[in-house]
Amino acid sequence: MIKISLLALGLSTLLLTSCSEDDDSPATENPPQGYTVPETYNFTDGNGNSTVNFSGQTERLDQLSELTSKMKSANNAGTAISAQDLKDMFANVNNDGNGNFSFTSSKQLRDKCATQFSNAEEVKSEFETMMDDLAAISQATVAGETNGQNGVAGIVQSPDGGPYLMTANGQEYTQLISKGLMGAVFYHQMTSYYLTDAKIGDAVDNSTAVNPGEEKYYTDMEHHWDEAFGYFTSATNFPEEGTDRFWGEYSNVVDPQLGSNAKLMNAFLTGRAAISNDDMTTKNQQRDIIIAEMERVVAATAIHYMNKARDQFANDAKRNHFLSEGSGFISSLRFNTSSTLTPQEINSLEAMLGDNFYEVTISDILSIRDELSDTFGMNAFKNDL
Amino acid sequence: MKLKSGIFKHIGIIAVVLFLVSCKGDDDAGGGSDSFDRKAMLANLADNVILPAYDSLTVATNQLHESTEFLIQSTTAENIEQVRTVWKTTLTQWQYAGVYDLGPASDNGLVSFFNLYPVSTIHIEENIASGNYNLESAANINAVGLEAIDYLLFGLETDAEMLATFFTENPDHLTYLIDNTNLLKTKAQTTLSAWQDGYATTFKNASGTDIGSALGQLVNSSIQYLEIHIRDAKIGIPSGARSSSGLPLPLQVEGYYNGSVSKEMLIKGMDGWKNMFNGNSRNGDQGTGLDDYLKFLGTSFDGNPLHEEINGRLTMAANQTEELATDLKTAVVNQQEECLSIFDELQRTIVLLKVDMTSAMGIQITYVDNDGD
Repeated sequence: MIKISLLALGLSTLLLTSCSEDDDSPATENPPQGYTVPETYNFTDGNGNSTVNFSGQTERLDQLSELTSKMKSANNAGTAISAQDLKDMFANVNNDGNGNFSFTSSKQLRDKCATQFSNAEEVKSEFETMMDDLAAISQATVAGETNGQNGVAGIVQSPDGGPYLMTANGQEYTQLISKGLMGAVFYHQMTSYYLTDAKIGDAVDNSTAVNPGEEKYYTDMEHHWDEAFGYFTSATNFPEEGTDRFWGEYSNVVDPQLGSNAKLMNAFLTGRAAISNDDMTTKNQQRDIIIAEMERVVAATAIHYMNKARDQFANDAKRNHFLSEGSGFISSLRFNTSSTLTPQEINSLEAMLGDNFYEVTISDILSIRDELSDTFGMNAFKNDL
Repeated sequence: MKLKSGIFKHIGIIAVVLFLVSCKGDDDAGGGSDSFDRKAMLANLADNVILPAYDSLTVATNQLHESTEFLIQSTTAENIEQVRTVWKTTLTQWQYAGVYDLGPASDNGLVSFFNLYPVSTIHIEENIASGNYNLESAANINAVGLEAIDYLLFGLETDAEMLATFFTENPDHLTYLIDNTNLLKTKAQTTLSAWQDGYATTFKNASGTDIGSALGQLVNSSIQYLEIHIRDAKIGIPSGARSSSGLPLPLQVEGYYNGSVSKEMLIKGMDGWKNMFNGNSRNGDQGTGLDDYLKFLGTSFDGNPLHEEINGRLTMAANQTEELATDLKTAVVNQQEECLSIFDELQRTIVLLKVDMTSAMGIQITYVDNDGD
């Protein structure tokens, strides 16, 4: 039985690949002159040494994967999690999340959280407060009991939905934290740090290999671009792979309507090739494409979850789960320093959803969706997202 | 296990077919490579099936609202009986309109607000006692709609005279009844208007077979409706097919407080579903429907045309229901085996629809929630 499914999967992947020529090829509308853009994220110097390195980003993605798994374990009634463990993973204490990670790493999520905002400390402590609250409500769950309901924190389960650990207001902190950190760390670092003039502007060094003795064959500009890419996906052959987590996953969710997989990958590849060929004009164009398209992915994903919440309106577990995901994506929008929406507008979107997901109305959900689709020009396909 | 491996095999085939279809990408309307006139099918469904269903529902909910408002000035046994009759008419019309859970119906949450059961009488009484409620809130889903009205019309007092007296002495209960009929009236009217004011055109023009197409949405929403709101809600859950103990749960039947509509509504529900599938209007006019599309595609199952197989099973389920001695409230206890066999028949129909029909049409099932996070 499993074999058959796998075979089908293999076949469909083949077919996908075979018909992807039209839309996934890295050719851009105005292909750069005089140099080629590779089809995967592999770049080398004149001596054939790889100049690509985004291992620090991959490690942070791995950290959020394991932090999310740890939080999700509390969805099983009777499984308590410790706030200290979550915070140790967030700050990567002792290089292994104080024993909570399955790997060691010198990187951390916490010190890259909202770094470009003056209130970064406040943002970090908001996440940590949610970790405290999540851990506290997890202590109270009892194996075999699904008592979460309006006004009562606990495990919520409905037909085909859950179990999810939710607050008394139906918020699933695991999603708010996980999606929130995708915004406050990955999206923020990508759009508001590495792709800014300070890190990849024309004045940044693009002629000296950082340290060939340590196999750092890349220039500063190349490396910063790679770090932005690493926050998008860990797969050099995206979207063939890398659609399984974080921004690569959600770009893939909204790809049928946005065509975001090819747009983003092409822009990352073209921009990187441009840097290696000192074509600053193309690099800057591609940077702008990435920042704009990433924001569209965030907005479209939020719309997607509003639709799902509408479709499952009568199902407490599913509706609140989808609203928690959607809410995480809406809050992510603010972590782009060149955001289309002002912080006040994002606050007002969040206010429309209200504090209690059990008491939401369909018109609240649709107002948020329509506000987003008006802002980002997605009215033509907002229902399909 | 055997059945399951069969399903998986089919899913594999669907996946491959889907990707094949998606590779063509040369149809403006989005997928669908055969020469069947899907546009004509959609036009028939919209004009002769769906719009009339919403029209009838709107008429019924208007009457229901009017008749409950009339109780304010004249709380008589006769008027109570009138409201009870219109309630049943509305519930019947709903059986023909509920299946179209797409477009304006989803934006108005019709399936969430109209007819979910069982309701929580405790929650209803709490709302009435506090007088502070927003019926549109998700928190009130188990305290609104035709089943909350069922409780208010049949659960408080059986005798119409007594109920009239009850409403006179407890005007907040009457207010809650009227607020509910108003909610349904507004939702039916808004949905009908949206179809009339443009959505019907959108629906007819989205004539491909891709995810956003009218057919893609109709197939997905109607199969989901058949699974959740007919197979499970009407017969599966009350007959015990959906609980681990397997014991019948008569409290979970449709129109529980009325106590004598659940059998009829199961038959009507299947009839409403068949109208969609066959493109038939209420007066029996046979238009183009999904059955004709399957006929055109030449799809067969076990040597028979697939559309005949599907219709045959639904007819069989309806006949078996007809033969039950009593309403489901009693039948799930006294004739549990017969009830379970109706459930099985529906279950088999759903497999044919979900696997064989969708793969023949190149439609992707999207409502199965595989949101892994």
